[in-house]
Amino acid sequence: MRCRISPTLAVRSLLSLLLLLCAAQGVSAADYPTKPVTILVGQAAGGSTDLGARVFASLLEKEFGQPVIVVNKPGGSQQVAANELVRLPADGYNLLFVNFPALNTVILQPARKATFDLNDFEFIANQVKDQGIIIVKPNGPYKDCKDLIEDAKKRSGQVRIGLQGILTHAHFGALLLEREAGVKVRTVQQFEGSGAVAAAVMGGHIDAGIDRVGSYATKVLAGDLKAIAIMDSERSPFLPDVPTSTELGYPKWKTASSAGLLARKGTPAPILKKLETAALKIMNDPEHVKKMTTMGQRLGIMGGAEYRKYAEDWHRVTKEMMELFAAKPKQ
Amino acid sequence: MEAMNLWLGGLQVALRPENVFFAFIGCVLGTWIGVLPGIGPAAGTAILIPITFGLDPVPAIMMLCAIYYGSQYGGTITSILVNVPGEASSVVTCFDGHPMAMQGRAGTALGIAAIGSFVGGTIATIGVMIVALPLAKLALKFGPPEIFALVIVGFTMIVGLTGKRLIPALLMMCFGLILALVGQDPVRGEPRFAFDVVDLYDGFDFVPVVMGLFGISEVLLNIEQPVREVIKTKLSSLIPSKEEWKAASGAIARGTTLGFFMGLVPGISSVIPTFVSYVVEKAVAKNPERFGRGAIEGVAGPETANNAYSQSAMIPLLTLGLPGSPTLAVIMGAFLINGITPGPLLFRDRPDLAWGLIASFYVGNVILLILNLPLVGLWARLLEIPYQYLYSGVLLFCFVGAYSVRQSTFDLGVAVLFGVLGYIFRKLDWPMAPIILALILGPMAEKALRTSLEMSGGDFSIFISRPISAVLLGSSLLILAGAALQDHLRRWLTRQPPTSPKAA
Amino acid sequence: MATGAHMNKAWKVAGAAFLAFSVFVVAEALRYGFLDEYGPGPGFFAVLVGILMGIMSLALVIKVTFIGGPEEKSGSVFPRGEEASRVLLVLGGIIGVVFLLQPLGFRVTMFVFLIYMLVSLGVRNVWIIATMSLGGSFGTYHVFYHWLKMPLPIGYLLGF
Repeated sequence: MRCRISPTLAVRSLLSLLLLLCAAQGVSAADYPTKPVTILVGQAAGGSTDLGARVFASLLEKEFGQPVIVVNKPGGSQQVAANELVRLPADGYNLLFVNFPALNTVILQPARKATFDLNDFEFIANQVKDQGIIIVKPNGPYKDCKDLIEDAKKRSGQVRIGLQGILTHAHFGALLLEREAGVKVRTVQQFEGSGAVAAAVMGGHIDAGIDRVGSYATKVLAGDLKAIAIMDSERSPFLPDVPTSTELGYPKWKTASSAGLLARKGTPAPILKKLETAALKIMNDPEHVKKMTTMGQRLGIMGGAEYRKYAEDWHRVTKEMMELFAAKPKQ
Repeated sequence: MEAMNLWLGGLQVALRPENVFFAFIGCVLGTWIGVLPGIGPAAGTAILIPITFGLDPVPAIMMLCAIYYGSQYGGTITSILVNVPGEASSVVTCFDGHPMAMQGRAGTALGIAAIGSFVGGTIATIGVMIVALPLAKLALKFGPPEIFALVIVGFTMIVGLTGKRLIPALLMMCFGLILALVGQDPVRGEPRFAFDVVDLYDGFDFVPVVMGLFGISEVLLNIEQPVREVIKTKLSSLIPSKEEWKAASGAIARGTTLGFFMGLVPGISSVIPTFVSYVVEKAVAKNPERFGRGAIEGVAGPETANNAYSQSAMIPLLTLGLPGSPTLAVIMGAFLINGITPGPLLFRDRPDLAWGLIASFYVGNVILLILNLPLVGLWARLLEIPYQYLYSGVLLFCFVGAYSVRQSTFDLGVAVLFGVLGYIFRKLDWPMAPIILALILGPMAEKALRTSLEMSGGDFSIFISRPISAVLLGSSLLILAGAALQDHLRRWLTRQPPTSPKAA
Repeated sequence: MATGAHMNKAWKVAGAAFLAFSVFVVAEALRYGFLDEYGPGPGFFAVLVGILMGIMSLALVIKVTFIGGPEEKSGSVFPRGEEASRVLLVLGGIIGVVFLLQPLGFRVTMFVFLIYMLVSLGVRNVWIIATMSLGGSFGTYHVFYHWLKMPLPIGYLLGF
C-alpha cells in the first residue's frame, strides 16, 4: 500500500517542526545549559592553557550538572580555534579558552588574514595572568641580568635568546629588552613548546630563553635553570628571590601572558551573565586556586568588563610592538 | 647497592594492591586507546586527567603512564589485522605484520609483538633505573642542528627501506614533505598552500592521511575481486616456530638497544626508532627480499623498539622535566596538576614516587603481557569475518578515526581524497611509507633547520662545525651512496667470496 | 600486447603530473619568502623540497622513457568492467558520507551508509544488515559520546 503525503501537509509539518525547534531554543536561554558545553582550546593537549582549561571544565561540569568537553584545536597560535568559535552558533554552548596577547597578534598581523577581531567576542572571565621570565643556564657565564646585558653590548647581535614565535609575549620581552637596555640580540624563535627552549638553554645551544614564569618556575626551583629577571613590576609568588625588571632599572621592560574564557559575539546576555557568575565562582573556589597554584600558574581573575579592557590594552601594546619590530634594523 | 634498595622500596610501592589495580586499569584503557581510531595516547591521557583529581598522586600517575605505554601495544593490533596503523609508531608494523596476517600468521605476529614489547619495555626499564641521570645530561648535547641531522638520517633510511624503487620513494618523500608544509607557518603565521581554505590553516593531520592511504585504499583495492578467501588462522601458528624464534630474538635484542638510546634524546618522535629498527633488520638479514612479505623480524624489531623507546623517553621527563613527545607533555601536565614536579628533586624529595613509578613500569609490562597473550587468538579470529562485514567495519573505523582526531568533517574529505591517491599509488606500485614518515618528520626537520640557521645567523656551516651533526650527516651520505650502489655492491660481493676479517 | 607497456605509460603520466605539481609548488613557495632579514622564511623549506621533487619526477620520466620502466606486470594498471564498477560503487558511497555527515549527522549517515555497503556487497540477510548498521551507527555514537566524551556530528537538518 502506498501512502501519499500532500505537499501542503509536508510544508505544514516542516513548519511546525521548525517552530518546535525555536521553542526549544527559547527555553534553553532560560535554563541554560540543557546540553553539553564545549570549550575550544587553541593548544595541543597538555599545554599550560589546556591544563588550566581542563581544571576549569571539571569544576564547571559540577556547577552546571552538564558535561563540559574540552576540544583541542591546535594551530596557528590559536587562530584555528578562534576561527572555529566564530563559525559556531552564538548560543553559549561553544566557548573558547584563549591567551592574550597571542590573539591580539593573530588579529593584527596582516599576513594571517584573520576573519575576526576583538569585537567578535564576548569576554566572560580571565583565569591566569602570568609574568614574563628570562632564564639562563645555571653555572653558565651569566650570574645575573646585568651580565647578560653587558655581553649583549659587547657581542652586539650575537647573544642568542630562544623563544616561541614572532610577535608573541616572549618576543615582546626580547624587543623591549633591546629598546630599554639599548642592545641588540639574536632571537631564535622557531622553538615549539617551552620544554624545547629549556632543553636548548640547558644544553648550551642558546644563551638565554624567554617565556612565562609558569613554564619554568619548577625547573628554576629544581636548579636546572637560572632565572635572572621577572619582566614585571611585581615579584613572582613562585620565585620570590628573582628581581623584577623594574628593580633592575627598566620599568618599561614588561610582558605577560593571560588565559581566559571567551564566547562568540551575540550570545544572549542572560547566558553570558550566568557564565560569568559561574566562572568567577569557580575561579575563586579553593580547589581551583590550589590546583592552579600547584601547577605554578599565577591567577589573575577578572570579570568580563575588566577582561575586555585588559585585552584592548594588549591591542595597543601589540601595535606598538609591531611598529618596533618593523623599525628594527635588519640583521 | 643503594640503587637496589631504592628500587626494592619502589617495588613495594608498586605492588600495593591499589597501585597494581590502577596500573591494570591504565593498561586496559591504553590498549583500547591504541586500538580505537582517532583517539591517540595524548588525547586519551588528557581526557582522563580530571578523573585522577580524586586519586592519590602515586596511583594516578601510575595509571596515566600505563595508558601511555599500553597504547603503544594497542596500535599494533590494527596494523597487523587490517593494515591501518592505530598510532604513528605502528606504521612500520604494517609492512610485514599485515602480510603475515594474510598468510594466516596473524597470531604469530601479534604474539611476537607482545613478547617483544614486554622484553623491550622491561629491559629499558632496567636501563632507566641504572643510567637515568648521567645519560639524560648527555642527551642534552643534541641541539637543533643535531636533531636536524638525525632527521636527515631518518629520511635517508626511508630510501634504504625501499631498495629498488629509489626514485619513486624519493618522490613520495617530497610529496609527504610538501603535505607537511601545508598550513600556517609555525613562526610567521603566514598560511602556506592553504589558498584561503581555513580548514587547511592547521595543515594535514597524520590520522586522516593514514586512514585514507592505508585503510580506505586497502578496501578499494580488495573490493575489485568479488570474493576474498577467508583467512584461516591455524591454532598452531599462534606460537612462533623455532626458526621464527631464532630470527625474532636477534631483532628483539637490537630493537631494545635502538629504542632505549633514542628515547633519551628529547624531541625525537617514537616513529624514528621503529623504522630505524626496520632498516637495521633488513640490513642484517641474510635474505632481505623476505621483508615486506611477512618477515617476522620486521614486526619484532620495530615493536620492541617503540616500547623500549616509550620507557626510556621517561628518563628526560623524570630527571630533567623535559617531555620528549606530545603524550609525555600531557603526562608531565598530570604530574604538575597532582603537585609533583619532575626533575632531579623528584628523586630526592619523593623517592617513593620516583622509584615506585619506575617499578610500576615492570608491573605494567607484566600486566600487558598477561592481558594480551590470551587475547591474541581472539584478535586473530577477527580476520575470519567474511569480507563484506570486515570492509564495512574498516570503513566505519576509518571514518570515525579521521573525523574524531580534530572533530572535522573536512578531515573526512581528506581521508577519502588520500584513499583515492593511495589506490593510485598502490596500482603504480609506488611505496607509500615515505609519505607518512615525511608527514611526521617534515615539521620537525623544517623547525630544526630554521632554528639552526637562526642560531648561526644564516650560516650553513653550523651543521658541519658541530661534531655530532657532522658525523650524522656523513653517515646519511653513506646510506644514500649504499642505497644507490647496492646492486653493484651485491654483484661485486658475490663475485668475490667475502673474506672473513674475524677469522684473522 | 606488451603488458609492461601499460605500467610504463602509467609511470610516465604520474611522473609528468608530479613534475607539474612541483613547478606549481616552487612558484607558490617563492611568494612566501625564501630568505629574508629575519633568516630563513616560510617558503625556504618548500622551495628546496619542490626543486628536489621536480628533479625526481624528471628523472623518473627520463628513466622510464630511455632506460626502462618497472618490471612487467600482467594486465592493465587500473581495473575495467565489473571490477571497476565495484570500486566506483564503494567510492560513491564513501564520498556520499563526506557530504551527508554534516546535514544528516553521524547516526543517520552511518546507518544508511552501512546498509548501502552491505547490500551492494551482496549481503541479503536482513537481520545481519539491521544489527550491523544499527550497532555501527547508533552504537558507535553512544560509545564515543557517552564513554569517551568525543562528540560525533549531529545533523543540522534533523537535529540529532
